[in-house]
Amino acid sequence: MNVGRYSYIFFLIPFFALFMMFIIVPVVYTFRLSFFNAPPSAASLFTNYVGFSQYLRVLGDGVFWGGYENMLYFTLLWLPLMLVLSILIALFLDSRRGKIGTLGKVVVFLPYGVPTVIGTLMWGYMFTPGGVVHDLLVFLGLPSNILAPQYILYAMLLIIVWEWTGYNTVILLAGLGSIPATLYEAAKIDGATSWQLTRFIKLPMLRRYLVFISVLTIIGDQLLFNEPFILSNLSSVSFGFTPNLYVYHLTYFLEEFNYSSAVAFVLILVSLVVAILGIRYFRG
Amino acid sequence: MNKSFNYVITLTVLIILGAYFLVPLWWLAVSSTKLYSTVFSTNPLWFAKPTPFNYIYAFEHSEMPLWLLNSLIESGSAGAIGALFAAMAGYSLAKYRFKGRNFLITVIAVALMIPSTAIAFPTFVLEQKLDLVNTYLGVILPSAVSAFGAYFMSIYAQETIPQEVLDAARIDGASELRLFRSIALPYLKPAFVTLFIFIFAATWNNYLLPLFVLREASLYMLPQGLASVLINGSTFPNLEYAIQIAGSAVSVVLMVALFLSLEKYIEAGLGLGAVRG
Repeated sequence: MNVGRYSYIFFLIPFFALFMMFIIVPVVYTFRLSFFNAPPSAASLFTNYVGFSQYLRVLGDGVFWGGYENMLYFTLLWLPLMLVLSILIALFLDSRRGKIGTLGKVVVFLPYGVPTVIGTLMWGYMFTPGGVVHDLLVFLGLPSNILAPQYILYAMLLIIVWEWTGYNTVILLAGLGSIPATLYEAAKIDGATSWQLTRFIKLPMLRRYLVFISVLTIIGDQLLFNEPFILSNLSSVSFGFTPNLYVYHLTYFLEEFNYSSAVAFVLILVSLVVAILGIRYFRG
Repeated sequence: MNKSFNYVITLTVLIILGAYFLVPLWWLAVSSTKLYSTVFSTNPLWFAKPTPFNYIYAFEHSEMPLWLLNSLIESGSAGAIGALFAAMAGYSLAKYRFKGRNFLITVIAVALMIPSTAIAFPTFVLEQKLDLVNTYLGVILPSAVSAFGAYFMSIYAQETIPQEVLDAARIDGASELRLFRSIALPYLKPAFVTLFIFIFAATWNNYLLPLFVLREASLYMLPQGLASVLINGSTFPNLEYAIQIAGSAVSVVLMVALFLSLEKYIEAGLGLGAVRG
């Protein structure tokens, strides 16, 4: 078959057909829904046009902002912790290429192979009395009821650092691996110490990778769903704990389809803005 | 500076971190051989009267094997379809010059940042209209769309497929489809495998979409099924525990085996994704 000069279209169609159907259409649908406020009995969700008033409601919605506040606090805790851990591990493994390096890489990467739902179930068991983490906390004299509402954020922190640190470490390792050897040699000839190599060559070369990881992390935090949703079955997690959990609750349980669309669209906008700022910083 | 002191510090940190990463997996392995009635009363990190009960019960008397099969079929199909479509689109964007090309690349780059979990509900509504709810395709098709994949493939194609080889084959009269199959695909193979793993893993991990789209217990994906056991509450804790722990262990073993066997491809993919941002 020769599809001739228009063959490029033939190659584009399968991807873009699915892309239109499952990304563009849902986004546009969400956007349109957010301008209506259909009464529960209405046949169509596109009845009762209300302009931007759903967005005004988002602005004044304490539960929504509570979710963002929660995630902001969470991000402030876990982003630096994860970055420091993954930089340290990556630097260590990079300096020990060979057997130890490979083994270490596999060990830190393993948790990423555990689906987050299953990971959370496992940690949930370990958090209950008689479980490893619970017993360890008792041994250390720390509050052991980590599933209690006031500590649940830290329970989630333990799970999420476990899930993602290895993944990010492997990204950083790839970054370290891409630094040209000539750069090291030149620095060594000039008598640079290994601390100086790290400070003036490795860390600056990792900058773009660190920005990349941070952007993904910040976007990912507002979208956290699996962990808080599973934890909510073991503890009392508020339905506005993360913005995305709130969207689910509004849609699935409260059936506020129009309002939940406005909230979802705000999440999409925030993601876009964070990503664009990240890319700007990346290039600048 | 005292060298052996430094060594001790490094070793301590390594042991703590290693334990953090590994203990949960070790705990899972050990606990999967215990009955629920003993799991909290015995040493959580060591075997006590190991029994295969959990595995036998989960495989023979629960829907867990079905969930496992559903997950394998759906993740595998999404990975294969997604990687192929992305390879085709990426190749086209990289190797043909046409009007609107830059526009499409921009659209994909923007879509990269659209969180798919935020559009689970409209996807469900659309699938209701298309009669895709409670079907394999209902999970496979949305999961196969990877804006990252198309972007990744276009860069990979740009950098690896030599234009001269394509031109020479054209002069020899090869069709465009033939060019893609016999020249482009072999060059794209590493990226194809990388993308397959990523889409496979993302589909395997996805919980929100199946929560909307799959509403019959026999159609659940594995994590969804295991979560449903938790959510439906405890009437027979021993049996529910058996399903959860055996299902988790099986899932972890499968994914870890997949990752280890294809580790090189994963690393290559992570690196390229980050460099291009």
